[in-house]
Amino acid sequence: MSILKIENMSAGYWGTKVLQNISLSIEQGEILALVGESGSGKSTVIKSVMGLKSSHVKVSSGKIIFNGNDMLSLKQEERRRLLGNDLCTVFQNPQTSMNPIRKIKKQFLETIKSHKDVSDAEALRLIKDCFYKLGLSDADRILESCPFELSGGMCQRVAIALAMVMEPKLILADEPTSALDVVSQLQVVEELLLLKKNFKVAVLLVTHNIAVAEKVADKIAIMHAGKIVEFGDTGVVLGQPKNDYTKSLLADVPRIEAGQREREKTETLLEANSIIKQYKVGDRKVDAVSGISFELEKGEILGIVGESGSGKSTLARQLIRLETPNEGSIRIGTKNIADYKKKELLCLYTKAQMVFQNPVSSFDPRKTIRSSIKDAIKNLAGIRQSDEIDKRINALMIRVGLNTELADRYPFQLSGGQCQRSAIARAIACDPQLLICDEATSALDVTVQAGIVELLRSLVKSNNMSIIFISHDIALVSGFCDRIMVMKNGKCVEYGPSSKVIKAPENEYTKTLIKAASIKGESSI
Amino acid sequence: MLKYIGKRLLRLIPILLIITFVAFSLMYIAPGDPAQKKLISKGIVPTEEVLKATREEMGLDKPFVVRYAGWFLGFLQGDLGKSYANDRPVSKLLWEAMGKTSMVAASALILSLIISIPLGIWSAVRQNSVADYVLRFFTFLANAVPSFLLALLLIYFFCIHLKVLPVLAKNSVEGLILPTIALALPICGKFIKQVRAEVLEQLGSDYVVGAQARGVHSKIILIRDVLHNSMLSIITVVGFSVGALFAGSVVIESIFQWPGVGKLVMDAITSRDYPVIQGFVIYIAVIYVVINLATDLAYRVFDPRVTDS
Repeated sequence: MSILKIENMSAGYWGTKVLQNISLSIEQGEILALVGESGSGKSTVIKSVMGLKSSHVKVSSGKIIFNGNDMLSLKQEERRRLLGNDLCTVFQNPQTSMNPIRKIKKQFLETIKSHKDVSDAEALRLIKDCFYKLGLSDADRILESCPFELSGGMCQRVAIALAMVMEPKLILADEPTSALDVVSQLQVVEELLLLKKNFKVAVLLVTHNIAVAEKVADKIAIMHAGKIVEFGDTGVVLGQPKNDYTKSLLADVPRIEAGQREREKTETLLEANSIIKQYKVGDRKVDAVSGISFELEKGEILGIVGESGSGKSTLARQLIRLETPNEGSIRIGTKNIADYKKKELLCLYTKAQMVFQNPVSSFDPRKTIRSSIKDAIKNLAGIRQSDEIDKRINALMIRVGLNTELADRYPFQLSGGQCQRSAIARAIACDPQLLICDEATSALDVTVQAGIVELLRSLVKSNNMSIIFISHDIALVSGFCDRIMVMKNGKCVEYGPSSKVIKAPENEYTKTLIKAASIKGESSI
Repeated sequence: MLKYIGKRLLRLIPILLIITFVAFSLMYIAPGDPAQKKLISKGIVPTEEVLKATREEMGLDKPFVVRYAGWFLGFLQGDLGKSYANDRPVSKLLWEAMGKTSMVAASALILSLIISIPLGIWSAVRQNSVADYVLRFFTFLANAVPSFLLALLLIYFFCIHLKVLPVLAKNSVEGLILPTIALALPICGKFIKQVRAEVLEQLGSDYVVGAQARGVHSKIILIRDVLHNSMLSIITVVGFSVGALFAGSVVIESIFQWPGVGKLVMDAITSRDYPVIQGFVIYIAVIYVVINLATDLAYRVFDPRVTDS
């Protein structure tokens, strides 16, 4: 018998329909992955099942049957008894889904006592038992800590333990790995597999990460625009996709590639020499970037990979003098950029431009895209006549693959992909020689990401531009960059031509990154 | 924790030094001759000779730095000089007035907390209900009505119409009731608004959804999580109000003839009694510095994320 059965469910928020005729079912001990891009309605499915008032989801038709209970006709108290007991949820960000400033022990105790009439000692025994089964050592220290004191990965494992402590029949996991670095991602994936194996619990896993889905899920449902477009055994759906959308989605997922495009050696554009950047944290000095050196040729794409906090963005900020390094030199052309006077910085910015992770917040929200780009053209390209500026803006919009009418919209009126294309248009307005993309595709869906990468590639080709592409996704970087630098804790642990770094990595950390990214390769394709 | 308190107390020393210096300089740069004022306030005709003698007696003939040093030494021993008006030590006058002000301040604070926290939470939980709208209207009103008007209305209603309470406070417990209410109501307006806004914000945060998804009772979420996390911003607002309360309300103390700090300083200002004003400035500074310290310590109790750095 299915533990969860959803039949022809339609749901939405405040009158807008998000889900249309969703049907799926999960058996005991089975992991079902719900995969799709952001906005496809994955999380709404989970919210509909939970049925919390605060989520504002309204199910307009259909049925949700969980373990024999009709979830849509439950009274508030009946629902409360089910949630956290038979039906548990793991959220994307563990540090905010638990009260960040209350001890973890207290949060466990209040959960258990909401469902079971037990003494503190007995509850504590239950908790430790659960920690033991999940392989979490050091239970006493964890229980006495607050969520903010634990790392993201550890916190997510604790959140899974918190979901498991009542031994539920079904876990709803909403992007449980998305906020974590690769190493922690691997741990959480292993943990999900452990749940299935040792506890026979069913998991509804919502993720946009197909690699994670393929690794853990028995069945997979591909969602697009509020509908399930393909549903079946993971191997079958991913191996022989029938639906066109599934096919295009799979094609756009970056895979580890060891191949490399051919290019001849050209002259050096940028030369960085033992850059050190320190920050003061309390009384200590911490090296955010310590002793990084590299060279970038004209027309070359350099990928910088590492997890959050490894110093990638700090390095980028030094390269265009948003900050000045404590030691070391950065030369673009012949001059050390640290020697540029304030007035000369404009000259630096005509040579080097940056594209940021969040395109919407990198634009002034009160200006149209056209007026933001206009500023860049006026200040950096030195063009004053307004008809010429307009011509240039239109040309730039077309160059980045956007309709020229979109330039008259405000940043929030564009989709993430359109906005990031506009940001690139603004960055290339002054025809720079160097473009630094700091996680420029990380906030975007895979299909959109593939489009942006294609655009950057064509810019390199047509303008002979050099690109420094910063990302946490080694698979994406591997197929796109000529050289790769792997960073960890502010240091460069591996640097070389991308085919070499991918095929024969020397550093342990690089190997872990590659292993995490090639989860896919192990099972099929 | 003790180390932190020690550190904070050490940091207070330069602040207090600056404050005493400014307070002392105020008197120095104030127009007029203090000796003359002192004599006039005592009803003595200030002839040249008497003035000279008084100046010497008051040490006014010495250079500024020497006078400041002498005054500061006195300050360290709790001597803030004598009032021009009645020759009584300023520290003693302040101490007595402070006792009276603290009584009203403390009772007003407790009353407003008892009223505001439950009402603020209630209003947040029933957001946009009729009860919420009614309460918001009254908090708006409490914020808007000037305290002297409120005091006069209270006197009219309780003392003249109902005749249950005395008009003048006269140091009695009954006399404390009206000044307390007159002080507490506007503060309630502020507190309720703050508690409501903060609780609403916390109720919308992820950890509340997380707790609901774990089936935790809504009352427990409200009290143990939401209220606990709301305390941080509530403490900040309470801290500001406590400072204002202990500084004494000139208007309320004057209307009810309550012999507190506000009334003392009002009288000192009208009679240009500089030593008392000077003492008052230092008193206020110390109050605010202490409250700041207490607020910071309270943050540490409620939020373990706050550390020494």
